[in-house]
Amino acid sequence: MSFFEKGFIGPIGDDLPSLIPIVTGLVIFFSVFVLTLNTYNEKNDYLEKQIDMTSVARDLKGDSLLLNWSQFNDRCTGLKIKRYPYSFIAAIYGTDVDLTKAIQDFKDASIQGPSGTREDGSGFGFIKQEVEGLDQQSFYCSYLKIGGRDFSSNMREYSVRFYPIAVQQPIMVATSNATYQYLIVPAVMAMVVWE
Amino acid sequence: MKSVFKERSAQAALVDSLFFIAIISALGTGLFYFAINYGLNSEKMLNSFYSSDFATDALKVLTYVNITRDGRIITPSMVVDPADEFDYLFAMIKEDYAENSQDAVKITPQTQKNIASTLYSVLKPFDSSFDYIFFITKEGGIQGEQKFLIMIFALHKQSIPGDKSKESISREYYSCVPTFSNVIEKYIFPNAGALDSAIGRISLCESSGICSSFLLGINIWVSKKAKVFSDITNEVDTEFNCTRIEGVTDASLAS
Repeated sequence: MSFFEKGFIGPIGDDLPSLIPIVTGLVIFFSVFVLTLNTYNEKNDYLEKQIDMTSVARDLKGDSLLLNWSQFNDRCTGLKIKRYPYSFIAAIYGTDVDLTKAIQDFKDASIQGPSGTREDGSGFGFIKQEVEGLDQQSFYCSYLKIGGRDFSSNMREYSVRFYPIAVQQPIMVATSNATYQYLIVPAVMAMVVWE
Repeated sequence: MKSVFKERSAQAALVDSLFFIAIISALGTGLFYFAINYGLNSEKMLNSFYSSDFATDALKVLTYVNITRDGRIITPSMVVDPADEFDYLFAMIKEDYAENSQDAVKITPQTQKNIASTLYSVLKPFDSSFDYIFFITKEGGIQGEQKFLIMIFALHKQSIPGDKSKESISREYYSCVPTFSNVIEKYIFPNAGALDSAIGRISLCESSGICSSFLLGINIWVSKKAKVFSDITNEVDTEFNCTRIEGVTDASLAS
């Protein structure tokens, strides 16, 4: 074998025209592969989040009727021991409240707690009930996964859902001595899930 | 002959590499197609779980809630008057049926209004984007023939059709007495698009003590402009036989 034969450039140089498509092909393949892998993981995360959300919401609202705050709190406590891979906040609003503020409320409540206030000084609008020995308690349930960050500092990707629910609530009767009538009122459970 | 092969070896390698890139392109296209389509069905299924949960919850809430006899929705922050009378919305439906089971209009206009206002508050998170049909129907007869006890049709409509300068879209509420049983399947299902339905079974009794089984249902869909819906709610239509519920608008229900 002689290196001085006609047309010979070198071991790589001789194959250069064929190397270009091979390298281009490999670059294309790995780019698409990485893109697919990322999309696959992202979509799996999203679907898992949705499944968890559906499951948590079903556990929290039960048969779409809450008789009192203690029942809601028991369900909330029961959920916290399940160790979900996502963090969530669920709260119940009356139907006379502007639900477009729910996300901002959740953001602020994750810092101040459910009894905090909005920028204008008004409360968050969650339904509250007087509980013996605990004062007024909001229908608010939050869960932070192990090592998770609170909602206010991690609002990049989240999912929101609303569910109709009925809540038995003491309604004040306008009499000289404040009395209450226990009535079942329509309400909306708002829920947000994030990583 | 030997030198001819030597001269053509580079050309063969080039063809091989072109084959390689063709295979890679096919694989890449396949992967890309997978990435685009992966999870779409699961997502669609999860969304349908959510919307069917939403419709079922709405129906359940309707059967639980208390309401004032004059149709005011009770909110948690409300202070009620000692003279106000409260009842379960469902008790009002039962009462109406017991009293009027032999009449043409079995559910009174006041109870129809109460149902509409309860549904308005229950569907509030999406109030401006949904249309719905709520119905109570008696099941039985030949081949599942249905007799509607009540049908409330809430539909977004253009106030002045054709006149673009004055048109505004608002939801209107209709009470319908369909003349044949499969009106929903015939007109709503094919035209509403993705539809979320919930159905429950209830028992209503006449004053004579005869009780019958009824189906209580709701079909919710994202509001869309379809000529057939305008025609249905046109009072000339004899199949749906709809009349507008007077005094019930989104504005009146919101106040």
